[in-house]
Amino acid sequence: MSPEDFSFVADFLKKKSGISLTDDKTYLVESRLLPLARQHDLDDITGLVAAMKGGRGSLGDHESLMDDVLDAMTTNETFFFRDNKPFDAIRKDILPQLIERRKSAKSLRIWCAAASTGQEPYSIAMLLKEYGAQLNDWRLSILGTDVSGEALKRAEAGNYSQFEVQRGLPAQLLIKYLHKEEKYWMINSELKSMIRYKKLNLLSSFESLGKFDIVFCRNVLIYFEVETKRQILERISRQMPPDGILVLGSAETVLNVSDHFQLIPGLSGFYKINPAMS
Amino acid sequence: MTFVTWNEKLLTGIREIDHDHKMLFDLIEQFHEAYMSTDSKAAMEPAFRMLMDYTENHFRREEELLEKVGYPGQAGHHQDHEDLKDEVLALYQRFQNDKLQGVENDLGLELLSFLKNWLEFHILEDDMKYVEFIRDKEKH
Repeated sequence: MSPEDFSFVADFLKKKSGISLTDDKTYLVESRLLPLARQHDLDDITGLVAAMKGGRGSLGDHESLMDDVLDAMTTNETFFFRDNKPFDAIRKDILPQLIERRKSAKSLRIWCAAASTGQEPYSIAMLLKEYGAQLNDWRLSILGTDVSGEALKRAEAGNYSQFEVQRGLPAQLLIKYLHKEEKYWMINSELKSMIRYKKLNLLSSFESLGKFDIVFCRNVLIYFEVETKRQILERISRQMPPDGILVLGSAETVLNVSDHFQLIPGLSGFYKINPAMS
Repeated sequence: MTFVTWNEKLLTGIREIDHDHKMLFDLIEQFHEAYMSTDSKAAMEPAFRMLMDYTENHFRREEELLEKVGYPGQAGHHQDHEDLKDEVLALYQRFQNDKLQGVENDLGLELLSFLKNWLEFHILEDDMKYVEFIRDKEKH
């Protein structure tokens, strides 16, 4: 693809999702957009970029084409209980303390900031349900947000193939919280009722979302430049009470990015608000 | 977590070839994504066709390069490409004809693993031979 076309797509992606694409990712733009060009009966990426620029009126809904491009360029694949460690840490280290501190309010709010196709929020909901009688009369709510509308549609539907549920989901939880309808496993309504989904770009305002005791933001900040990461982390910190917990991917860090959070010693990927900055 | 990604070990140093290889890895990745997210074999068809068409174009570009530089192993290399296409199409056909749908069908994973292993092995073993030949030729 031409450098001009690449720049156009990279600029669009940056503006819409904050994701930065360097020149060495030209192949990725081509490999993701070529199938899309085909799907829209366009000869090649040049044709697709022209259509994105609004150069071809016969494509119909321009906005839906732009959404398709955004979806194609953002990967949505996730697992249930992806990387077990953070879930174990929530169960053993985070929840006992939070429950103690919230015992009068009896309420916990959790935000999955890159909910994708729903496996993470459903995993958290299962974890809370399994935690025991202690939480029985609590208000437990989970908000799942993602930039991709397509991914959220799948999350809301809560239907997973055999292969998807085989990955990471223990059999006893599968049978307890999902039921099989023909070839698909469907999340039970009780679990679904704990979660609300909302399309949200991490570059937009979070203020209307309210405060969250735990924020999961795993494996998404890697796509942003340092300054954007810093701003997102600062805005996330404003949506948390002073004792709120941030969970990042195990390979991610706030070191040299943000002073708003401090690593919780001994808990890789877990951060607390830096009291000096709140 | 990705099924397959290009890595530095596979770098040939020939810009167009490396670009094609990276594309092929990501097209296999997309075929894998399609395989995992749908139970409909028909829904997987576009991703498979895209991969096969791009593979065909890449083979053609590579063989033109080998002809241009007078690579002595060109005929064998061409045969390797033909064998791959035959084998992949046969596996895909078996997968399509099998009564099990999508992800419940292990033949899909067998096909994906075959593609992944073949591509890695072919680049590391076969492509690197002509890369060496081209480098030697450039030195003299």
